[in-house]
Amino acid sequence: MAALVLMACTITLPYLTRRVIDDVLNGQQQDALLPLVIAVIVVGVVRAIFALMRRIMAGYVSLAVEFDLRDMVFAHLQRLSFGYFDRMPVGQLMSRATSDLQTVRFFLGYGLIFLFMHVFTLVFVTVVLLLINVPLTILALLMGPALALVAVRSSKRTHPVLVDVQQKEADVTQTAEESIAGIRVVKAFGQEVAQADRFSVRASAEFSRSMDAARLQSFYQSLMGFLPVVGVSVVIAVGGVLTINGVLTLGEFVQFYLYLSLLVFPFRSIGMLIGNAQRAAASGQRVFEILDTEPEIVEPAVPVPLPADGGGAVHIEGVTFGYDPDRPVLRDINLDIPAGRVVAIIGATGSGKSTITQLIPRFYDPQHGRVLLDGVDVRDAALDDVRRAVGMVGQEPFLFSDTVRANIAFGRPEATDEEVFLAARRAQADSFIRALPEGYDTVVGERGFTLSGGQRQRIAIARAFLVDPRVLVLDEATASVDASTEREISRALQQVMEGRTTIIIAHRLSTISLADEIVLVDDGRIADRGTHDDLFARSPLYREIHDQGLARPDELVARDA
Amino acid sequence: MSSRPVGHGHAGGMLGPVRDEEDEPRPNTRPKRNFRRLIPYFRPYRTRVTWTIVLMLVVTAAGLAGPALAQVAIDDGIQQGSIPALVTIVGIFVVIGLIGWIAGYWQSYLSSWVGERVLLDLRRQLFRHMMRLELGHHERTPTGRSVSRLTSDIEAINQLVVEGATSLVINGLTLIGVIIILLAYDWKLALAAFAIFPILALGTWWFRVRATAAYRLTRERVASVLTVLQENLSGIRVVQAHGRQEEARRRFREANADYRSANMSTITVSGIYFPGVELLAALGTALILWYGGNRVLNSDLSVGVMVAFIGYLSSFFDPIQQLSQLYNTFQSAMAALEKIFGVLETDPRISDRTEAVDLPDIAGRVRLEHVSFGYGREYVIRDVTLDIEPGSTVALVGATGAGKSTLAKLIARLYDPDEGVVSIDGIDLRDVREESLRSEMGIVPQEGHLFSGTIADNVRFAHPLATDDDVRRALDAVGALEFVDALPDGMHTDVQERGARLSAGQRQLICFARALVPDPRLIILDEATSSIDIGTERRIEEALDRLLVGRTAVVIAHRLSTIRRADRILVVDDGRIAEQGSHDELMRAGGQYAGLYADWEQAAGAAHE
Repeated sequence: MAALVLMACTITLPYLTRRVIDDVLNGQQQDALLPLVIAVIVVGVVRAIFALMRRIMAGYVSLAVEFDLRDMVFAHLQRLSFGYFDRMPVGQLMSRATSDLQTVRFFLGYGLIFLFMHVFTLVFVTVVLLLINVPLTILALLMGPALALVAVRSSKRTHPVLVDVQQKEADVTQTAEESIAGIRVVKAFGQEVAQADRFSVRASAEFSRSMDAARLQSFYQSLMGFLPVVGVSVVIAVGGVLTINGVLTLGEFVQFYLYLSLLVFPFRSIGMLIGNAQRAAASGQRVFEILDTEPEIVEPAVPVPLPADGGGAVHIEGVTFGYDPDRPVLRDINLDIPAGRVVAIIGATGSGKSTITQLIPRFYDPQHGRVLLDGVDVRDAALDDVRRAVGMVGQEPFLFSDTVRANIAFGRPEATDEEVFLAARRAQADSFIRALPEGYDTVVGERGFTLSGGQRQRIAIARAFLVDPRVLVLDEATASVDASTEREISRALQQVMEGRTTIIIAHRLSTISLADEIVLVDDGRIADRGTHDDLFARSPLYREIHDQGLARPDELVARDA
Repeated sequence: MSSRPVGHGHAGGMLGPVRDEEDEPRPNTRPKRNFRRLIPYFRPYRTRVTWTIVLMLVVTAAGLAGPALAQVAIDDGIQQGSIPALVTIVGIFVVIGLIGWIAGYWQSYLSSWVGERVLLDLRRQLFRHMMRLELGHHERTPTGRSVSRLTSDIEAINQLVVEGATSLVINGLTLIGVIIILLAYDWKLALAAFAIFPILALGTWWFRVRATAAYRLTRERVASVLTVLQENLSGIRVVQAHGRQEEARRRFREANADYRSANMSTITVSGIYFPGVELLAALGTALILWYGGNRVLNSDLSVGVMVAFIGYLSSFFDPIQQLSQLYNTFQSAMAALEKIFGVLETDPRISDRTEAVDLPDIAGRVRLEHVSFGYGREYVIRDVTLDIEPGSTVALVGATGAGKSTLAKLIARLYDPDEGVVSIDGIDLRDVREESLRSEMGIVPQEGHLFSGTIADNVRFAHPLATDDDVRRALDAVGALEFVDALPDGMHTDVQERGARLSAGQRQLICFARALVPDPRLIILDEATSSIDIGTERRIEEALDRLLVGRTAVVIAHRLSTIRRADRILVVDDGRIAEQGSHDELMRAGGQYAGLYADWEQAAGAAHE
């Protein structure tokens, strides 16, 4: 609506100018000058008011659309399953939730309104021009299709080059990223200059591609500046002759000339807007792809509660599973872990150790068989219940950029300070946390205070402890720390393991020795299980692993500094 | 990071929009100075810059010719009834249009060229400088921040230099041109039209003040949305495992809403300003119609001049709007420049002395004399004196933070000591050209960092001229050839595509081969602590044997097998060498090392109970 009024005002102004020239200046109605000037002012004021409304309303609507879409995307991402994030890199999702959304917003907020306004202007002005003089209008409007054609062609030819420039820019970014992340290697081999040369090559490639784009854009833009000149020349020449011959009045001629200049911009823009629309559609598709993805893991409508007195018994029955269903990682696994038992799972890299544990909190659903927690199929229980019942500590725990306190209380934000401190003490973390610059209020994580691997590990253990899970999974929890830190962590673990089912995945003998029983996994199957002595006596595979990796004197447990 | 209020009693506050510790510099700190510093980058391209400016003048003039020609067409052609005059004028009009087209093409191309080229130079310089900066700088600076200096900050300046500069000059010239033309036509009518100037100036000043704040806030808020998004996507498994989706969503919505409201204020500011400028344009037209119209009636002014006046007035307001829109671009670019020059001003600290010499052929005797060093105020290495025989292997052991890796870095001259001297074959490392030192030294860092490219590219990293045969020999020597040959493209397999499939151990082996290619006299090895699968583990030990033989080696050791193999063990404690000797000597001495060893045996024995 506002846009319509706006257009009407814009179109009225040349008409008023014509009236001034024809009626007043030719001497017929000299006293009409003042009312006409006032009319110009009034139209100007009305136009300004509506322009303001249009801008604010369009801005508001487009921002609301952007907000809602981004909110929906984020909320939906929260619901998607682990498998989705295994397939989609974070950078990919980020760009969809930011730049793609912005493209959509720009089109919805500005593009659409402008497209509408331009089409309206074109139609209206054409009608007015036709009323003044039909042949002249047809002549003048010939430049229109030419302009639009050039604009469409320009966007078609330039777009792929621009996409390529983006790709080259991504190469530059990648080189920058890995050179800085690997600066130690660069410096260690004295390759600073050579690496700078490599960077130069990438940056130059981007430069030359940008120049291709610049050449195209310069050509089309200057051409689009020239075409209207042709149209205007035709109008001045033909219109001028018509005026001399008395077919047109001078005022009509001036009005025609002014209206024509109103058309140049819409013609040029429509082509560009069509290009924008295509890009927005592509971006929109990428955004909706996320929203259309169905979560693979869905809660049952009426979940079965886990038994209140369950001690964390795990039953895995005939489970076959692969991240890619065609390539099973686990084949027909049967595993029974009674409540309170401590079990170590060992086996070569890629044998499926971690995968078994990922099925217990239902991060993935098996293709065949079922997983029971305290007698309840995890697919029948509420997701929150299952996840709360299983605590995981991985090799590289993720900490959020927040205080130590908030990180420990992540799974139970309502925990009191005392509970947080107790969890930290149990995880052998309390003393180093108190030594941090601001103790429990120190901000850690990517944008905070840098903690060592062992310290992060102990915070993750405290985090798991505070939730008080029935089943605790330690997946190579001590693998990336040095031997002295490992001992600290092992001590922490012993405390935390008490009274719950624990599954340990480890390479180190000192960690495995915490277990009651050892499960040997080989190529997606359970090869054997038993105590160290049983396995040592009967399993050649265990003896091989033991001799090669576990029992050899290849680790040094250093005393703490 | 400064303190943030944290609610006591409960430990929420997770996922909140954490302010980037590196906010933009305050506006107007030193924009002029930064802008001036950019000028020398244009100097090599003076000729092109001059041409660009000449072409800009032509383009502006061609653009301004339109209304003037229309005026002549009306007054001399149509009103005089002269068709030949009309045709001549239209002819001139078309020719000027053609000139404008050609000049426009070259102007646009040349200004892009100059802008992009200057940025290419700046970017290369910045990257070269970053490579030269001492390791400490990179250890203090998150990778992401350095990368954004090279990418998004350059991009911000790009917008100003490539698009902004052209717009600035052409619009500025148009503005001046219009004023001159109007005054030339009729100075009285021009002055009447200029009556709206004070209001315009006032409005523009208001816009400038408001927009500065609003755009700045929007940039900060968008950064905060990105931060929350990035963190939640990286940590999504943790969020889901703890069932905190609702909370995460609430926090994100907050950041998102903050961004929306900041953005709304920029829309409001420009929503008021731009229609205001249009209103002033209408008022200007009214003024000209009224005053000019009266003078036409008095036969004091021609109709053509009045029409031209109205035409020029609109080409006067367009540039003002365009220039105002540039303001945000200008601000972002200045903030980016400030940060980039901040990096360029950082002193690399380690650089070759002018009288530095190439290292002659060396035997590989390393000596530290009373070396002390600290990253900050406190020394991490205190008065260490040490002599390493050519061809011997020395193992550094000790707890985390004892100073083992700092010691190794001093020997590699990744840092210069604060006190004392580090020398090789009696030559102070500070007197040696860095490049020649590096060619005698092979360093294997703890994390197996590989660059994108093929395995062969990575192996010949330090020696780009090495042939495929050299690479093969190196891979074979460390026992990596077997698994490399099993890959689809052998050693020409891209590590990125297969990167995820190369295990930590395999990456280690490739790093060993990389260190071997330049055939260094001295090897510095930081042993990996992470556990590697069992088969590879043995292969790495065999590779180590072959890598270290006949070379001086300093190993930061984590595996007992490596320690036992060493000719000499140095126990580092609190920045000092606490004990040194062979395994047997140290065991006999019954000191710190013997204690460590007993601890280990106990831990290993526990498994057999």
